[in-house]
Amino acid sequence: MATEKNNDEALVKTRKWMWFYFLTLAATIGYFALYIGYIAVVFKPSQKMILLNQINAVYSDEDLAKTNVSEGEIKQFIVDVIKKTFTYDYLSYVSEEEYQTLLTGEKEVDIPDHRDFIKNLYSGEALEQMLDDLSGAPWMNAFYRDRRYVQSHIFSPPIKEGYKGWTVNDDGRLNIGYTGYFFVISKSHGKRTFRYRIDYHIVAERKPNPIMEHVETYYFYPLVPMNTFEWQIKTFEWEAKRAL
Amino acid sequence: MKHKECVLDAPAYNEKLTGLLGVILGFLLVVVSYNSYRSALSYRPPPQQVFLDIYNRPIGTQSLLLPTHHNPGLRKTTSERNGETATDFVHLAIVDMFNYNSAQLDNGEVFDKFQTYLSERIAVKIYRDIFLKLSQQRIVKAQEGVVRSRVVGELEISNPRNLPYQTTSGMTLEARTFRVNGTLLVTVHAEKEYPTIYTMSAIVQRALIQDKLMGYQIVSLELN
Repeated sequence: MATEKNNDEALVKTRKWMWFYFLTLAATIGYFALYIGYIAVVFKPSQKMILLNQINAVYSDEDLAKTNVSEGEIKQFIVDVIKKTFTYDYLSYVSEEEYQTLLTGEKEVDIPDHRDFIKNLYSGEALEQMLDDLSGAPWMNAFYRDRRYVQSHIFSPPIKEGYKGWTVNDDGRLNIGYTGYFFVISKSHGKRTFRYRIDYHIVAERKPNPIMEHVETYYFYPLVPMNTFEWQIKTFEWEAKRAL
Repeated sequence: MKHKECVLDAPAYNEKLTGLLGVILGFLLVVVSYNSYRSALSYRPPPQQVFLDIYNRPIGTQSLLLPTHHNPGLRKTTSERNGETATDFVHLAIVDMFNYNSAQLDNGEVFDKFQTYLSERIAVKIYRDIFLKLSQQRIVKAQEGVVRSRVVGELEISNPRNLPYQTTSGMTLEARTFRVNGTLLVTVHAEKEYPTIYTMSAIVQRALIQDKLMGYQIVSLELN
């Protein structure tokens, strides 16, 4: 009697274990079946649409009252513009008369003039004003006779005008202004070295992305990089003083 | 002994043993499936890198056997044999490398150009062992001269060949390679002008954008 009772109890316990086994097995196989069914039938990977514009470029927001770059990038752009604008020599920045001979093709060169190197960084009016200012800069006296070259040295970052800084102009473009100073050193072999402190006020503006166009030039065209940054210089006012 | 056989033959014992094995097997399956579930949840497909040119245009699949057209200003290649893009790249590289003054030579700008245009295998070697030892550098440094260059006539390009890609990244690829020949006029402007005519021979190769942004690199450069 005792043996039969033990057998019955063991059988009950065993059945419990078997049920547990079948349940776990069914859950496992069922999970795989559901998972495979979901992957094969239901799941569809998300598609990311890319909008292309008229030159097959990825469309980006061209609202000129907004910008996709940070203020730090604009500040870096301004520093780069200063560095590029105020670094040249008597051969890379030729006299106005000689520049006209380049434009008319009387003289052939491969390398662009300094004017062409910086033109993509400025708006049309700003470039014109800057070239006027450069031609009247104090270090331009005897610049060609002494075979001089000038270099900019920036020790202080541009300072934003106000707490916010960003303003939307009447033309709908975002503007930002900076002030600051830097130094220009004019050197020549065997001649005196002159140092100038430049106090400046720059206003940069948002511009649309450039459109690819090939322009006939007197120089090897790819040498001038395009300004693919969202910003350009709108005004650049500066004053030079001799510094010791 | 008889008692042991009775126990082994007992159906209750066999069922219990089978159940125990089933539990172990089921537990293992649960662990394995849970692990696969966890790994499935944490799976992130590798990001698909899309290289864009300066106009935000996707560059597309990179094949080193095809020309690249993402550089503004460089001519498009009209046929496999012509290789106008590679020719323009060599023109750009040579003129840009030989356009500097003494300050740019000292502050590393010229070396930076060499690293931009030349393969990393030869950039340092050519700059240090050949370029810096050119006689013109002594004039540039002593008289604070300015160097300007010009390609005389047209650059000639050879038939393309598929050669091993010159890189230190360990990749074994084949890349379309050209030889470009031409004449280069380099003038040092100092107290006097010192013009020199070089016969140039360069080997230019397609490169991955990851290695060289312009998609081309010079793997050999001779100036005689």
